[in-house]
Amino acid sequence: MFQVETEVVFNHQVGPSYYKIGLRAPEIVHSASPGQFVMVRVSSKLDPLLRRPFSIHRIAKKDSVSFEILYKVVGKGTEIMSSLRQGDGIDVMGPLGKGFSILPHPKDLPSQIIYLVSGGMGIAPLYALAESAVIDGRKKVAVFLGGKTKEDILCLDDLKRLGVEIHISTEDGSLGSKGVVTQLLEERLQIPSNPEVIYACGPIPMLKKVSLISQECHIPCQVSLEAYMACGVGACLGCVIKKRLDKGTETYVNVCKEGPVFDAHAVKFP
Amino acid sequence: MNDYKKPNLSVTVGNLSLKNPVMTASGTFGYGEEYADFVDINKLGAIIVKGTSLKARCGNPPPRIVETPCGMLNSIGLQNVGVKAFIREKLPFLRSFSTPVMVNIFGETIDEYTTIASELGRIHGISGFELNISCPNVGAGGIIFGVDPASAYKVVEAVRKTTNLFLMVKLSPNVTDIVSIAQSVKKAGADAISLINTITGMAIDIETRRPKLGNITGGLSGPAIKPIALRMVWEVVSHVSIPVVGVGGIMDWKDALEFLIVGARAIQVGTANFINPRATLDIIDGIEKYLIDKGIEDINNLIGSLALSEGSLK
Ligand SMILES: Cc1cc2nc3c(=O)[nH]c(=O)nc-3n(C[C@H](O)[C@H](O)[C@H](O)COP(=O)(O)OP(=O)(O)OC[C@H]3O[C@@H](n4cnc5c(N)ncnc54)[C@H](O)[C@@H]3O)c2cc1C
Ligand SMILES: Cc1cc2nc3c(=O)[nH]c(=O)nc-3n(C[C@H](O)[C@H](O)[C@H](O)COP(=O)(O)O)c2cc1C
Ligand code: FES
Repeated sequence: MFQVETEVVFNHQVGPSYYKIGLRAPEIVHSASPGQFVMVRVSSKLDPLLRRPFSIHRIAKKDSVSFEILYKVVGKGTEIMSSLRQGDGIDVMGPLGKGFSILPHPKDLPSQIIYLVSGGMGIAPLYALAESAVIDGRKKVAVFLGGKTKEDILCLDDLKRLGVEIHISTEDGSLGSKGVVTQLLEERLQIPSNPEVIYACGPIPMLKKVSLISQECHIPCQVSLEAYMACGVGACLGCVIKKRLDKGTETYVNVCKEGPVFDAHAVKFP
Repeated sequence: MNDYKKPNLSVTVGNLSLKNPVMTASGTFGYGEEYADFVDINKLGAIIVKGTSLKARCGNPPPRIVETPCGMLNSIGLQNVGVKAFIREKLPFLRSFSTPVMVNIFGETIDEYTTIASELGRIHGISGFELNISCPNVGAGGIIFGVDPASAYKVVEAVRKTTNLFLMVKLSPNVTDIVSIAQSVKKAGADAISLINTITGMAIDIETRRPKLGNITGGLSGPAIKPIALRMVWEVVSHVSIPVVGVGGIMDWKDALEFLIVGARAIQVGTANFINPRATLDIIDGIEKYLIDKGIEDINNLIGSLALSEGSLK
């Protein structure tokens, strides 16, 4: 873990309220893996007070000194973040938490396919996973992108460039098929040859459904969760979710330290 | 230029000697290991660990945190691993440093307080206790120990009888007369007082009309509470003769100095750790620079030097 006082490399608008920001932080780039996150202090003022958590969106370039965050403006902190310009100072802590785990590739076998299921902003950490899986040539990747309208379907060009299989659904039918992304996933799972793992990130109801579907099909599933956070390092115990233990017991675990990526079948969704 | 002497930063709080007056506040620094990548723990004045109870506690339902202007509300619900797991899993790491470790303890009955204190009192590597009395006394109908001078007296007296270790009592600000509580805590045999704990508060989501915290109410901390904390420290140091440790909204060295000038022997850094994981060290450095700039050789000459009348500053 590092705390880096650094600078903004770029900050572009990529949709109606979506932005992509590049931050210079070689320490973080070199030690981060897909699914991990950073805590950003958007200004040195005392309001907003707390750091804001964001997934690491792009880290794959090995020789790179900066990484990217894909974010949506939803309140005070992200509003300030969207006004930052190239060269502005910014303070980041990371990489934090446990990311996605990719199963090792057994020798002499054709590479396995993995499914990435995203609702809206969910593509932020999943893109990092797709990129790393494709670049290492370890896995074939199919991405399922869901959103309310075509405006909420992000990273399409980047994903096309990666050459992954893409499925799109929007609730208003303005892009791809009309409906929710879990419908797409269910349809695709009708075809024999199941994926090795399903990875998902998005709103809780969607994750709950993906978890159910994967359980019915006996496919391992990893989900990336969100929670309100203060410290990001496991000290404040503010970011808990309920996890199932053996023997039917439950416990609270920290999203920031034990997650944000969890085995979906162990999560007790609200 | 390098003929200046480094000022003395060491202070004593009761019989406890600290290399500097900066401690970590309970519940905001975990068990030290969480921040070990950022902070050299050997440099801290003291470390106060998460509130510890006899049995492990699972805490309150989420959401447990909500930000408010210049502050935050938390309703963690005193989640902790319990005293046995603390000794087994957390203490060995802390023992590897020269910094004194204080355990913040709490219970729901006086018996629970004394049992934890005697269990920890037998263990090597603990320099003292911070008694959190901002908890409901289940044995007395759930009234908070720390809001009533008589029940505060009882619990402190009982713990005092079970341990000779340094005993600091942490006061709740949710009272009408902080001085009377402080006085009875002193009478019961406390070595020092720390204050303040969080101030009870609330926040509502106007779209759903639901409380923003799973537990409905929570404790306010951060810069928003500093003026209240400072006023309460001032009241207590003015009326009670045992050492006082100031806590509440300290974000940087300037905030820390305010508490020291008012008369706190030491200070604790809480919420600031979340925003700046190196806050404690930055505060130590800032205090040292201030002393050098002002030509003050010993921090003890600054403590309690509040100038109440014009021109009284030497
Ligand atoms: C591990 C993790 C990774 C994340 N990754 C991304 C990402 O890659 N891109 C992105 O745009 N957002 C991400 N988020 C959510 C992001 O942290 C919040 O949107 C951000 O903190 C909002 O700050 P704000 O000051 O703009 O909004 P606020 O004014 O604080 O709140 C505005 C709204 O956002 C909601 N919100 C605030 N904080 C959080 C939070 N921590 N989690 C969920 N909802 C929240 C509030 O309920 C409120 O409705 C992530 C959150 C977590 C926990
Ligand atoms: C997340 C969180 C957890 C806390 N846990 C405890 C605790 O277990 N025991 C305790 O006595 N105080 C606890 N506190 C109170 C702090 O130690 C401190 O008294 C208070 O936050 C005010 O200081 P600050 O404004 O610098 O944070 C907690 C505070 C926060 C924010
Ligand atoms: S944010 Fe503090 S424990 Fe997770």
